[in-house]
Amino acid sequence: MAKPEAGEVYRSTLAEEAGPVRRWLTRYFRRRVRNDAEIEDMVQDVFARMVARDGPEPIQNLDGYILKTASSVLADRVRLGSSHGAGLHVAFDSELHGEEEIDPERVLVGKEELHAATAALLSLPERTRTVFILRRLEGQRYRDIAAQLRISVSAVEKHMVRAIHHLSVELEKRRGS
Amino acid sequence: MVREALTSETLSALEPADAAALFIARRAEGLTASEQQLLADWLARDELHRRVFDNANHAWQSFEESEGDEILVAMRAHAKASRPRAFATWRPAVAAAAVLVLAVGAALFFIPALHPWAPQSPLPGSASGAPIQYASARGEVKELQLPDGSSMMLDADSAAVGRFGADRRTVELQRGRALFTVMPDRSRPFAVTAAGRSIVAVGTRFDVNLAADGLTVTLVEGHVEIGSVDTPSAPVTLEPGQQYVERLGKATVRTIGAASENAIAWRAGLINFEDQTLAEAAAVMNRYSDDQIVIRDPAVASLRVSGQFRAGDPQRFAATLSEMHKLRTVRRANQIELVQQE
Repeated sequence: MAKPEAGEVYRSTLAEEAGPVRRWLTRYFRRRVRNDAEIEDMVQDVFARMVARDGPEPIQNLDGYILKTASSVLADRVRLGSSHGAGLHVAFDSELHGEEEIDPERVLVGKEELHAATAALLSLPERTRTVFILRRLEGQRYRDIAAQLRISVSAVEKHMVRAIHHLSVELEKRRGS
Repeated sequence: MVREALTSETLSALEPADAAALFIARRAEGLTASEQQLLADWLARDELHRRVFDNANHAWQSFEESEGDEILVAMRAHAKASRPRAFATWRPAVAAAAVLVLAVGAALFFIPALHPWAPQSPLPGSASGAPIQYASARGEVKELQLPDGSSMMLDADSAAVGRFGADRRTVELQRGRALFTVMPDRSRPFAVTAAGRSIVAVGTRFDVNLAADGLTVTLVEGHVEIGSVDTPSAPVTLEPGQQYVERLGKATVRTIGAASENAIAWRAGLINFEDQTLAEAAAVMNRYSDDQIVIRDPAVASLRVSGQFRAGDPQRFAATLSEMHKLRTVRRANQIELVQQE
């Protein structure tokens, strides 16, 4: 984890309690937006967009994906702010303006395997990902997952097979490269 | 047991990576003794199997150190809050109940001109859902997920149209054969229509087969009602082990007992014939292979055949039949003709 820049103070309790991703996002937005309440919202928005992702495009690396999501959340806020002519005070520092000049630090450090697996998980359809997470990370039984999502147990198993297949191909590709 | 039993036949029909993923998925809930044995045999059979299994296992293990990870914590919260899709109308209690199995078969060589039934049409005033077309190629058995949570295993060279409305679920079998695993839902009966008949699942496990010269419904367990698509009439109800046979509009019900299991043997790549003509049997065999059995001699076509054959092996079928009936085979390109011995 990169050290905060000298003089930078974390005022938000969210940032104090949060892990590296929330801290990084908070700092990313603080450099561009002068409204702490908005910043907290935007950090939440990044997470909300990531977990609801339902697209088949592969995610090369999680860092890049977080960055991309953060920048699209920012772009949407800028649009919203300017169209309403009030609210946000967006400060694009000249040296930070443009995609190339965003924070050079990496968002994520260590646990490469887990982050690769998370990236692979995020490139699954949302429903398949949900089934896998409920089984693998929440430890729920297939019949309980089936009941929650109102699908058959065999449909749950098919989602699981699809997820495991996808994850093993993606992680294998990564090890091979 | 709700999940489907795994056999070496179903296993060998899967791509190795899918088979590996299936083993890992089932291991999460605990493998049965027979699944453990299947896994051990499968792993020993091929170096590739071992490799893809290791990859799948590795993928599973990669979430081992995930506790406290911010992104995964957020993904877990999202998953826990997930609700059924809008079109799913199962009540949770019903969804958790046992899955029902229904099979319907219709032979490819079924000739509309020879039978008195009306052309197939959806049930009047029934399904409001948009029709979904399903089809499989020759030699291809497909397992398909239906939008209501049921699944349909479509036999080779078969076609069906599904309609899933708010008050009724209908699958019209147009050609071939299919095995249905039906999700119970009292508010939306699951009906399969074929050749003017409607077979309605009433919380049960049963098997239906539409043969060359008519319809055959075999009940494995539970309860089914067979009615007419067009004319309202008292439905015929079957007891487990009973078979409804309709030939040229004449219906009879007979008891066959445990032989009812033979009706779904095609799932394991096996085909059963029971005193059928060679012409009928050849037409069924031809659904599973590009090598086609050809019979031109009417005397040969009308010979009878009973027994179990392997789908996709017309050579063996022809050889067995030749031996049984003193015939010989003439091979031309991808045709195997059965002719009488001189």
